[in-house]
Amino acid sequence: MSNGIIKVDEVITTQAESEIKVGGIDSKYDVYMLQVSGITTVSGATIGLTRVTTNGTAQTGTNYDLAGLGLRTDQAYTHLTNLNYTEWGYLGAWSHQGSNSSFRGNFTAYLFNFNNANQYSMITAKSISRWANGTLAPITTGVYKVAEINDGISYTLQSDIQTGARISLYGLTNS
Amino acid sequence: MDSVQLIKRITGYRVQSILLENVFSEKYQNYIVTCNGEERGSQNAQINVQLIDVNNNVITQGEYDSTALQMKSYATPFDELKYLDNTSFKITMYARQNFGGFQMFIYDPFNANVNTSVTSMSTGNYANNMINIPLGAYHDESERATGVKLGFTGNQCDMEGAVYGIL
Repeated sequence: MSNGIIKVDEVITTQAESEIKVGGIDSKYDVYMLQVSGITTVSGATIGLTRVTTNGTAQTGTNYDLAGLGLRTDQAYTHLTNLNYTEWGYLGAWSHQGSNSSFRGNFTAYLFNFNNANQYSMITAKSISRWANGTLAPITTGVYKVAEINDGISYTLQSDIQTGARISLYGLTNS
Repeated sequence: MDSVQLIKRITGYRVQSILLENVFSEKYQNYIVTCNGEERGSQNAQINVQLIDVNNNVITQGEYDSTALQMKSYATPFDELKYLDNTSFKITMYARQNFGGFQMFIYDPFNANVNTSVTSMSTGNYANNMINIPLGAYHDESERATGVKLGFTGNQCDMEGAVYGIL
């Protein structure tokens, strides 16, 4: 096995999409890295919604918890606490200016225990995005509270994801 | 094939900055920058990061917006660091007497139609205590960047900087 970080799956949007999914998480790697970049929207403020997938299907039950701190330039930092949500809502890309904006939303996350049927899937992320009032940079952790195998990630916005978004999944080699 | 590839590594001895020039290209969209080293002195000092433009000039205008949290092992509350229209990604790392290091993701710097954005996490030894700083920032102008300058505000340090491309 080669050492380093190996790309497992990637989607680059060539048209507006309501959902992007990347998959291929299995027993080959213990830890995976997710990178979401180049996110823009049609309209203004929107929230990025991240979910785990099981057999390629996004899981929408009320099993998502999140804790984090919303670093921002426009006001005091925001404590982010979500219990029993249907998604990780503040994980990355809080909101963006419209599709003509040159400010793109980006985040990088690490995925733990996704392929473990006896453990909850967990995630850490650092994000950067822009909205009308300034820069948002939440640092977050999340847990999906179902002990099952999750094989990927679903990413949606409250409006469509525009052309040029890139979502990549990497495996971190063990040896 | 490894999806994270070393592009350039530079080491400077008793320097105040390192220039990582001509490291961004169309081959990669996003990058990782790492920095580590050792301070040659005992001043309060920080590392500020600036982009380098297509003419190999360091971008020094007030075009950098950042938000960061200064987390301290010795005191609370943590400090909210917000800088608008600054001349760098300010206080990417903060230390005294000893150096620390940081890891930074740089998103789409070579795209002339995009505002370069970054996230980073640093650690610095502050008089036998510790300061850690997560940071997120944008360059306020949409222009192509070809490299980065890692600038140290103390007198001297030994510093290593590296840039990796993410396929």
